[in-house]
Amino acid sequence: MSTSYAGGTPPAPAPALLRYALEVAARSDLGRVRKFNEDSVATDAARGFVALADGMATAKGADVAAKLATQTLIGQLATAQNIAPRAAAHAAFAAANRAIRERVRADPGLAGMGTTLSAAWFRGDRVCIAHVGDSRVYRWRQGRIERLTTDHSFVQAQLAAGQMTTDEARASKSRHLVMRALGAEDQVAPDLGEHEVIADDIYILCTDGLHDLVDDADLANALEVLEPNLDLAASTLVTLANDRGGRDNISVILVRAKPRVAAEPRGEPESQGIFGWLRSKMGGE
Amino acid sequence: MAKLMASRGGAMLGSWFIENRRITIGRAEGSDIRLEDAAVSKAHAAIEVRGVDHMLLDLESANGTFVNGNRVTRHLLNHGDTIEILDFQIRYVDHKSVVAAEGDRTMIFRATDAGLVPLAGKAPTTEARSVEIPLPVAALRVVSGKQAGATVGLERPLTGVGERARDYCAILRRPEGYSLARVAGRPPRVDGKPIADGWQTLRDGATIEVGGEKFELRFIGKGAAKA
Repeated sequence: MSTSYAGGTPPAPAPALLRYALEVAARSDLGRVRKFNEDSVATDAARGFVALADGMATAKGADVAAKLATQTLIGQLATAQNIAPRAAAHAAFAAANRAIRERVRADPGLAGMGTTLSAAWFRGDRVCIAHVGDSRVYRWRQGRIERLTTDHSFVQAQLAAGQMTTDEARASKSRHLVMRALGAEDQVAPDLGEHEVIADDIYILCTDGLHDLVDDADLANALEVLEPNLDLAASTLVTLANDRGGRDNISVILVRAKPRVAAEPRGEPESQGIFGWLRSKMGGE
Repeated sequence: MAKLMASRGGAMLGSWFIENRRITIGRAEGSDIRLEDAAVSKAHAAIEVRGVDHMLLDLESANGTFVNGNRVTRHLLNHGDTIEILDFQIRYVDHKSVVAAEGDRTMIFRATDAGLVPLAGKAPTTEARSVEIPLPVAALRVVSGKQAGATVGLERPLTGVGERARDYCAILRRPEGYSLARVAGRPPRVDGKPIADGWQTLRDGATIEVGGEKFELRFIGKGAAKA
């Protein structure tokens, strides 16, 4: 995925800034119902950041808002290598919001455009996760899936307040109401979280076109089986969402943190896959 | 805009639009929808607005609130639902929710005291998320080796086959059948031939060889599956 930087390409960070080498696989798909892809995906594995956005518009400009968001964010982070990640992420989200607001002022036909934005920025042995809206970040660690973001959605607020059950939320017609997004107002407050990275973690960023149709259990199943092949995992997640209707654009970014030094052999292969399953089932081990 | 149409014994009693407010149903004077029968509780049920949804709540009524024949204490209304209170029927009509030709749309809202104020985006025109996808049912039978004869169900979307550190592939369950792809190591063989990279459709009875072990795919039937 190509990314352009305002004012030329900043130098790549010193290796010390990235304790892990990042393996990145990304897909953005139209889905089976929509006519345009209004998601945007941007990755920069060398500098250690990835972002995706799900654009929306009253009239037009959903794709414009999404692209402005990811490109502004990635450009900002590229010039902020020496700033504390949280401060940099905050500034980058503000800049992306401003860029969208300014574009609307220049072209009133774009009024009512906005976008979600979710980003992960790897520094040293930590990752900073920032988001507004309902595009999610998950982490796959040692065989378990964990959601690292809380949707800024009406349904999430209803769940938190005990006004809706999980089943009601899943069936709700309100599940596409977003309570926070870029472009909507002059100020935007991203949720920021910092997490320690462990070797072989996989971070998953996705738009609601994926997580609305592929639930956490199926996401975990896909990662468990396909994790050795990140690219196949990304394309297969898109296939799963399309097989379940593909009602929205589907975007996903998978990032694996690989130790820079030679890795030790991973796992005990005998206990995994069908052979392991059979052996455990038949008491052969 | 969603609408409620009340009737009793086939006779229309009236219709009400649900705007951005709570609708009360009961025998009490001042109920939005007044059902005049001694067996109806004074405050029998209510409908609350939740985003673009409408939630029916039974207010601990003596004789209960039913939707499409089932007693409910709370229920997220879907287009076409019939609310039954004794022999009263209230039909819920929400045409907007069945126009889903554009797929799922997202809209940005701000919560205020006056309700939700749209800021950007387009109102969702989304069906309730209850799509039943028919999926095939098959099992993998081990043909060779010391586990010959054993079978493995293929109910999950993905099933790994082989040994991860050596030759490893995956079977994907899709509405149109099962597919196989190499994940790591040497490509698996299907009916004796190594497969190209990416998902390859498997026929019923296909033999699969992975890292020296041999399997056979057997279809059992078509099953309804989850959304």
